Amino acid sequence: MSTRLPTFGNVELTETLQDWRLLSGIVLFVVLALYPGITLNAYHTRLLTWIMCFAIAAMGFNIVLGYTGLLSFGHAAFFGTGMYTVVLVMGQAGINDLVVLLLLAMIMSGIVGAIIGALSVKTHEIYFALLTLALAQLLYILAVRDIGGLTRGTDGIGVSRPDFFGIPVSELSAQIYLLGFYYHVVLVALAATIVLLWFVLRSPFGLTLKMIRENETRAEMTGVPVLRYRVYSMILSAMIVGLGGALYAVLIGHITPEYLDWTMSGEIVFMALLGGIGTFFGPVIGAGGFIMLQELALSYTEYWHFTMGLVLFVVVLTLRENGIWGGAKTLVEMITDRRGEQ
Amino acid sequence: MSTEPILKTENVRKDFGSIVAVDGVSVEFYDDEIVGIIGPNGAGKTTFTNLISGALPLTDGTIVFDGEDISSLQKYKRVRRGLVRSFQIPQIYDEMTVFENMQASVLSRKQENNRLFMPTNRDSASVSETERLLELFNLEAHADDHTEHLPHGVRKVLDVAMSFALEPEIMILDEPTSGVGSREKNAVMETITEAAVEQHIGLIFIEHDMELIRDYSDRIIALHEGRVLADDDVAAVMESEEVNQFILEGGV
Repeated sequence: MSTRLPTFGNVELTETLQDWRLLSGIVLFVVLALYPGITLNAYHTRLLTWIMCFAIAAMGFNIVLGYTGLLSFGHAAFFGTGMYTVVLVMGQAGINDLVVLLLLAMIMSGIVGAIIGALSVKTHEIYFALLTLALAQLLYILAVRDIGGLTRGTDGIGVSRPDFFGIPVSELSAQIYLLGFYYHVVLVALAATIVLLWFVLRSPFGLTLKMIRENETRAEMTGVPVLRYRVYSMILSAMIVGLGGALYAVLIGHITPEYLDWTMSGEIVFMALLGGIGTFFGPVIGAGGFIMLQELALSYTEYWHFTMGLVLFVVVLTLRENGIWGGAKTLVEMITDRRGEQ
Repeated sequence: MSTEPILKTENVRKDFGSIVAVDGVSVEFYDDEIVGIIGPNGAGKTTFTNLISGALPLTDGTIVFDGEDISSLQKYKRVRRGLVRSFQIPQIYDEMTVFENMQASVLSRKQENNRLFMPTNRDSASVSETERLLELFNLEAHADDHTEHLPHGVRKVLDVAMSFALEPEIMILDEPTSGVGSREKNAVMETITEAAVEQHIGLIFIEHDMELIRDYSDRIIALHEGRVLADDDVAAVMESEEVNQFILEGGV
């Protein structure tokens, strides 16, 4: 069995598998939801919130890379657009409700995704990567140069705490706000993203993206407007990445143009590759792996970039598009197969 | 025979630099006939089909499909109208199962590519139609196989079947049996032509195998150096002196 994407086939088997997955998903969700309340560990809760923000972004990114087969190096533009939308709408328009801010961030990122997508989907591979990179850098320059006087250049802007459906959660103490509220918002957002993409990527729409990835000529000759669907995939991807960015902006409380920079795009690509671009959950695992590895490497050595590079090198070389998650799945299958034989 | 041609080319021409690959071809096709296109290598057969499907832009001339000028219509729009082709080298989706490959065509024909929340394996309408098509083309044993591991002959049949799933008005087959074992060639042609007749699909097929041409065509168009050498029923073309001189004796 391939680890690329779950295949169809025996419907009964798929359904059993889905039930099993659904069950473990719910258990995991409950455990994660209870975690801060039980441990009261602010450091770990913050780290988990951080990971989940990037897990959302990496999943969104993988729509374009893993499903549509396009390597974008410009996803920082969508992440940063999400962040700046939150802070600018708060500061300039005085809108303070978290849910409204998140929705606006997704819409703005979607618009930027549509523009960058429309300008780059005619190109392929390296050209697509470079074009998206260049267009994203334009936004970075705009933010650094403080054009329009909104972004305050490299100094960045502080983000105050938003409210939630009129409940003044921003007045809670910092500890309770994170452990009892914001962590759970991000957790629910991640769960919603997973459920949404689980359905969308298995739908005829998701199949259409895979058709384009696997054989563009055939997709076109099957009546699919290939370029249009590439733009659709960029828009969807940008919206999800923008959501991750917006959530992250509220978490860290201060944003600077570096989140629009190409190194940010690189980190998102890194996470997806680490976890496995050919798998559904890979990017989530990749985001966790990346951030924990970074924390670990930072505390032991100043050469943490080197350590990270080495890990990615080994993972990509040995596991390729399956990444850590795909590799783990294969391992489990091998073990269960062997048990089955005995 | 139908009175109105479903597909008509008028003085279609294609230049590649100073080379004229297709030089003023005017032919008609009907939705209830099987037309074989023959000609030596370089006669312009594949270029001609690429012009019809829109893979290459015309240098000059017009293509009329179902009464409308489609000369500059985008490829996918021609497909949606019912002008469909298959490929000499199978163009299928690797890393997807045979079932998914087929279902992709079924869903695209119904233009359901935008449906967002129904998992494809739960969509009973397209699933049962896909199963029926796999059975029709004897592919059901391979349904769950990934296409990259299939033997060439099966890939070829799948390629034709995927085009067939689009329920075209007319279908262009570029060497539908190349690479298919000689014993299976007739079976493949039999399946395609029977299904085509049953569903009123006009067939245009390029073929080097003269026996297949003779057995399955209602009419033959012979191309030579980009021009139509002969366009007549099977017996007339096979007996034509020019055709014998340029094509049949050329050892195709």
